[in-house]
Amino acid sequence: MAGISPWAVKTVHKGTVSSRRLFVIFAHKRFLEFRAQNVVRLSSAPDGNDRLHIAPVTQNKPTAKAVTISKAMRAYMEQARAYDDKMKSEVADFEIGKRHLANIMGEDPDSFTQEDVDRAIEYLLPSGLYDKKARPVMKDPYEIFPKKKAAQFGLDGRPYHWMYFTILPNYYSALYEITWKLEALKDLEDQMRAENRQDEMEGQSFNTASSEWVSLQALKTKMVENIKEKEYKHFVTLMERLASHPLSAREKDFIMEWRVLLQSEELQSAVPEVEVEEGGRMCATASGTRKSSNAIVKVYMPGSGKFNINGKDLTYFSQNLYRETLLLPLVVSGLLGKVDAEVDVELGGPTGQAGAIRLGLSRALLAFVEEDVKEKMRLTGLLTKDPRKRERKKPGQQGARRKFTWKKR
Amino acid sequence: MATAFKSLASKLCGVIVRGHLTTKSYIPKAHLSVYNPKYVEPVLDKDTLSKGLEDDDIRHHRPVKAPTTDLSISPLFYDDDIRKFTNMMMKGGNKERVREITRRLLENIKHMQVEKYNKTATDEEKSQIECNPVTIFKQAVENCKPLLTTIRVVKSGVAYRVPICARPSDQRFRAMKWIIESCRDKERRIPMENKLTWEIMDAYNNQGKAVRKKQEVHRICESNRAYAHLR
Repeated sequence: MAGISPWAVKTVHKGTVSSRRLFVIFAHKRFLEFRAQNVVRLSSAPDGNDRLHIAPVTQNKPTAKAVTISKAMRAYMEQARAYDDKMKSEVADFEIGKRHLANIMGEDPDSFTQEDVDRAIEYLLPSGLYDKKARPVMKDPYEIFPKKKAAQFGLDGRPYHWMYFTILPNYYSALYEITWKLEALKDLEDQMRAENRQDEMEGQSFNTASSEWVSLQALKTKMVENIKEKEYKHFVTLMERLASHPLSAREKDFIMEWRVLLQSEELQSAVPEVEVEEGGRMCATASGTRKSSNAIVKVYMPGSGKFNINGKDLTYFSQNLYRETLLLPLVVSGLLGKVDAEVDVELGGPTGQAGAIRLGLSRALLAFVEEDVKEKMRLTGLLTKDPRKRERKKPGQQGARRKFTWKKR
Repeated sequence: MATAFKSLASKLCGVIVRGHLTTKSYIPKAHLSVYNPKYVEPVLDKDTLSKGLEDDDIRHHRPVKAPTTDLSISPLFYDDDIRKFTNMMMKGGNKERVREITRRLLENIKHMQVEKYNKTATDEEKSQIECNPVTIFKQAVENCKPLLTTIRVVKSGVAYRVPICARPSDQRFRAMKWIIESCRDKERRIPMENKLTWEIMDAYNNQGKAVRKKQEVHRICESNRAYAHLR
């Protein structure tokens, strides 16, 4: 049995071919030479050719086999060739189309960029469709046609990946890795507890507050596999378990591979520019909206806390509730009584107007406060536009939610 | 070696299978808020704001909801319990009026307590008297909170009143509702703030209608304890 691994022999079990791995056809003469040197089992194929089923073939040993290509590989190569041909013609079409488009628009075809294409398409084929995906589009074919995975198996048809037959090898090997890491951490934890080293475990848990798990879409792209919602949830559950382990900081890098850093939430509104008026008084202007009201607020620094709302002072609002609402940004930023404000507010009722002024005032005050105060104002929600609106009345109902009295007969 | 691997494999499989079991449902919960679920509640607590949140607090990395109109740092109405109480008293959206009633209610309590304080002779007795109306109000609500409530369970055509633990939000709601209702039952001519003042002072001393209502609910739960297994 020299030179033949046991499982290679096993593949020709009971004279029938039980492996599709390698089909090497020998010329009769060379085969006989080979047989003289090695003891092998043979099987007679129906077509009369002697076939030897041996795999894998070691590289450094001189073998008496012609390398043939498996059916799977052949099929893949055909597909890949078809795809390449298709993409080639698509790219050629795209290039010509782009030049035509440039000519139609009267621009230089050589310097016609994708942005120009988008603009031209929007201009030439205006679409009222709501969904952006339903509108006409012209893009590089490689962006439009889905990318194909490269062959997952070699010339001999053997898969590269040991989890090939799970259909989702990357996904399952990731799960496998997570589980092993978790087990290792658990063992370590047990060991530390046994040795009474609990105090070393303090602060070894990885804090994940500043990031979140990759989205399903991102995971799909990252693994190049069609992962379903259920599998994604499973992945996240397992990852959560790893991340919440008391020693998870040791796997920080691995965890962060699968997490996306949250942008520390940018201030929703840009900081307004500070203008200097005559007499060296600084002022900043910002606008705010709430419900159907709009307000433009001009804040003067330094000031004495005077308000001018449509020509009146704070008594513009008859209720204390609205005055308090209005003063909230000043209280939070600690500028109560240190700035003056001139407000132009229109439309809506007192609630909307007070809210609009509050938002405008908060945005205008950003020009005069420090970074930490900005964060404070953000945490208070002052820089968020209140998105709540009046809900519309529905037909067949008395109001937005209320139904007519129901009578059986 | 082989057995060790086998046991480990079964352990790992256990982890995976348990993962499936613990995730109860893949169907997302319906939420009616206009805000994206990532939004967090605004921080309006003065102490927390002045101290600042910790660096790894999740709120640093999340967008924040805008505070509603009545969520302001007003010295009186900032308190969440008082805000809730005021809104529960409101009829027909007349918030100005209920705010005035609440203001007078707390004022009345303050007057009563200060009067009592001044009339007592010894320091020891004086130290017993609570003069902060907000504390009194909170204690009164606390005294009216039921520990148990009943739910209606229908089993084979028979409706049972099954005692269950009351949730904190439920407890607060019931306590406040009983205080308000017991005042609404009283003489109509008397202003609401006066009736409330008496009721709250009674509740503060573990007396009065609202506290009795709580005891009644407890009694019902006690008499129906045989059905507790139906919950």
